[in-house]
Amino acid sequence: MKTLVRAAFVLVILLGLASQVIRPGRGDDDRDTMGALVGRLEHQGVQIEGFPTPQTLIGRSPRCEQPFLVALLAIDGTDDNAIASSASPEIVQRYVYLGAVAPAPSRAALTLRWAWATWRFNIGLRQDKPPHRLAMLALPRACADLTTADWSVLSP
Amino acid sequence: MGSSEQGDSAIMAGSVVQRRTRLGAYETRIWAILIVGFAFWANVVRASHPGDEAAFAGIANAVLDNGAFDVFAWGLVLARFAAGRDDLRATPRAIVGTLVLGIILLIPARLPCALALAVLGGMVRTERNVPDSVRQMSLVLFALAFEIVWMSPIVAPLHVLVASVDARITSALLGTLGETAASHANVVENSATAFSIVIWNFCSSSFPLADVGLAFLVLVFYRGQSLRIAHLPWLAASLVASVVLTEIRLVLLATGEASYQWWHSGPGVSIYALVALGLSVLFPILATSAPADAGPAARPA
Repeated sequence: MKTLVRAAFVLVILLGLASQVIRPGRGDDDRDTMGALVGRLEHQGVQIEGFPTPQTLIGRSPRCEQPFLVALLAIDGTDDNAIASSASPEIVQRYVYLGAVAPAPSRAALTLRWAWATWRFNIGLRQDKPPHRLAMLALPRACADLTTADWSVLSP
Repeated sequence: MGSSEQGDSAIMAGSVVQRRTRLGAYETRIWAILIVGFAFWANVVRASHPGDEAAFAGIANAVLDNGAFDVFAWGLVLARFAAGRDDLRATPRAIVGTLVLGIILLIPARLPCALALAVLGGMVRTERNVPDSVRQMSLVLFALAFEIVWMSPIVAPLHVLVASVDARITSALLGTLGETAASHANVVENSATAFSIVIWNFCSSSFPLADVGLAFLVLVFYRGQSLRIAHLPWLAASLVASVVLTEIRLVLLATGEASYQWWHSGPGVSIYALVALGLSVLFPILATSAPADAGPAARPA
């Protein structure tokens, strides 16, 4: 009995070490995230007009004459000042994260989504590590086609 | 009296027989701390090499980067567990609990490590007939678990909030130094030098507090004392000193680009680390040097 219990203890130590050593899935490198975002926008017919910052791009859709802004923002609130600075009566904001689209960033909802996805990633049910960035779209209110579109396809 | 002695002998004989078929409590505790310790440090190494194979030199760096007091805390826990030998047999609860720890740690993330540390701390604290020197270590295990949670993304929103307060304090301090500065959320803009800094969650004054608390606890126990009410003002002073040191660092960072480079990426990094280390050591030593605490611990923590 003692030997069996000792063997079980050794086994859980080895399995624990093995689970740490197994190479994890792809990380959330910012360039990868921005590159993937550009690809998804172009797939939607959006033409990229420029990158004001490494985490921000200006796009133009064939469905609207006015350009719009897309930014990758930290989900932990460190980019709250960027969110505040892009708010305007003429702008409609959309926040896209892990398949969900919301009109405003809810820290609690984002954290729960991140925690759930991280847990699934850690036990192998999710291939990619969940990103620490969400996509924020600042869309012209005048372009109803854009504000009502399903932007979940841009999900990081 | 005679029948009582016979009864004791029977119990002892039964205990010997049972000990042959069941692990001792001491050995089970050693297994438990090994299971959690291996997973804890393997996770530290993995977190420092996301997606890469860790080289041997990288492993050593990862262990040291995790914090001197984490290494010290684990050393103290291992030493106390190893010294706490007894002749008792392990309870089924302790054996099953140890296996549950191993199962929790199969999830390769930091938070399961925190959960396992807290469970182990609870086991050690609630187990009967545990030597006091070992039972004290439950607080260190809880502190290690709390440190992981405190530095995890789950608590990041709190640090972001504190960072915005830090930004206001920094701009106010810069104002007292005669420089014109303003803060917006977690950004400090020094108009005098046209230089801005962003205070990230891991740069906020709240971020190192769990580490400071752990250092305090470990040093108090290392000096052979229990945690007492009289120590709490010293702990509070240690936390306040850490906050003040962070605010001073943020002011130095926000002074200008040259100062920023010196304190953020130059020799200032080592100076800051040494001062932080010195303060973390100073307060628990002062706390345990008070005359009222000179004697041995009266009761366990």
